[in-house]
Formats: sequence, structure tokens, C-alpha cells
Amino acid sequence: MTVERDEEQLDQLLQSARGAVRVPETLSARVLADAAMVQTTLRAAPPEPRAGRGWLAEIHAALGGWPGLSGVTLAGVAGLALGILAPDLVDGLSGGQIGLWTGDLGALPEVGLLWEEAGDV
Amino acid sequence: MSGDAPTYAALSDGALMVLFANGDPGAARVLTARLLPRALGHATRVLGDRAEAEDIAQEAMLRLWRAAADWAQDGPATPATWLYRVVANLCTDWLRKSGQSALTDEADRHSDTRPGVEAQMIAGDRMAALDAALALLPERQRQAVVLRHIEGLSNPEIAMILDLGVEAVESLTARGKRALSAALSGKKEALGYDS
Repeated sequence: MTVERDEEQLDQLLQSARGAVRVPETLSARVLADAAMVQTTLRAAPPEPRAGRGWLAEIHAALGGWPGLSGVTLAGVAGLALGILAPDLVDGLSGGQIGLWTGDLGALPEVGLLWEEAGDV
Repeated sequence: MSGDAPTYAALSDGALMVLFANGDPGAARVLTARLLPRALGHATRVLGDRAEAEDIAQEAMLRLWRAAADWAQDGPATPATWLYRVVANLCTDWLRKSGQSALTDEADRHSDTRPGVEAQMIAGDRMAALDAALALLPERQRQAVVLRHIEGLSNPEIAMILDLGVEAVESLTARGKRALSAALSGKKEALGYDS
């Protein structure tokens, strides 16, 4: 009980100390004078504005900077090499769609075959 | 910004730092009114030397102004905790230079037996008694007790300010409070408390 009472009284004492220190006006004036001095310095040498980024820089950033751009470049080169070295493989993997885009008639039914089918029937 | 108080009152300290960096003199006034009493209070309680506490509070505020240009509003520290940290470090430096931080944790365990509290105490002056008792604590313990029980900060905030773990802060404040209680026991009548 006494311990609890002691603790309560100590808490009261500590709480009464909160905000008990008064700031003299002279100190406030010194601090504000420092603030004005620093603001003058900041005005004299404002922080360097960030240069506006061009559209190329925006794309570069959107792709994840240099690491992202390297990946995109590698994928492009690999795709080009595959297309040149193994066009049939690419056409097969795409389900004939690449041939369709590139005008490869192999991806379309032969007109002659249609006649033949009609004749067979 | 016209400088009227109600406009500033709604702004956080961090927002005021940005305004300050943009040259707003009103922001400096409001930040000074909000933060200087806390810096001075902390330094005064920790140092027990009013003149030195004023110098340290001014120096800490000057560093705050200089930090405004690069202030990150979404950073982990608020201007208040940042300032407390600067004050705490400046107090530590001053106490070391003046040879007043020699008290160790070992010394702390026996602090309740140290003489001098009564001698320094003016009858009925509780603040003087509290300051005298605080002066007996080791420096880190004193800082933690002042920040927790007088400035009213949370343990995680104190951990950030003193660069300690939260558990270490809890231990420091608990031991500090026990030591304060011991130092003030027996003075209760003089302080006007029931014995």
C-alpha cells in the first residue's frame, strides 16, 4: 500500500514537472534569429531543382532503369535470332499465327484443296 | 501564407518544416513555440544547469533549421523526436566533457544512499527536490526517465532517440524510477506529501 502511494506521489511529481520549464524571451529571440539566418541562406542557395525528365527518360524509368532495359534488349535479340534461325519452330509454337501475320499461305486452307474437297463430294 | 495562427495550428511539425524550408517565417515561429520548450525542458532536467541547457536548446534548434531543406516528411522521425535526439546527444557530450557522466549502473544501484538530496532541497520546493534526485541518476537512465515520465514520450520513441532497444529503455526507466523513489523517500514531509 505504501509502495503504491509512493509511486502515485512520484508520478504526480513527475507530471507536475512537465512543462514547468519556462522559455525566456531572450532564448526565443536567439532561436528565431538563427531561423531567419538559415532561411536567408536557403534563399541565397535554393536546392537544385530536379531537371525535368524527357520522354526517353520516362520510358527508361518505366522499364525499370538499366536492369529492366537490359532484359528487354536481351529478349528482343533472342526473339530475332530465333525468327531468323528457326522460323518453322516459331511458326509452330505460335500455332500458325506468325505465318498468318506474315502472309504465309501455309497457314490458310489451299483454295485448290477446297475445290478438290467439293469434287470428292 | 498569411501567418495567422489558426492556419498553422492545423499543420504537423513535418509540414511546418517544409514551409520553413520554403522561406515561411511564420513556420519558424510556430515550430519554436512548439519545440523549444521541450528541448529546453529536457536539457534542463538532464543537465541541471540552466545556462548550459539554454545553449544546448538553441544549438539543437539551429540544427533543426539546417535540416529543414532536406527534411523527409515521410521519414521515420518526427521533428520532435529528431530534436530530442540531438538534445540527448548534446547533453551526453557536455556531461562527458564536464566529467559529470561518471556514474555507472553499478553506482546507480547505490544511489539511494548518496547524501546531498536534502542539502540541495529547498523545503516545499518539489521541483528542486526532483532535480536533485534526477542528478543522482546515471546519464542514460536520467535521459530515459525524463523522456518517459516528464516529456511523456513512448518507449519506442525513446528507443529511437537514445539509439537503444525498447527493452533497454524499459529497464532504464524502471530502474530510474525506483532510484528516484528511493532518493525522495524520507523527504515526503518536506515535500508536503503524506508519509
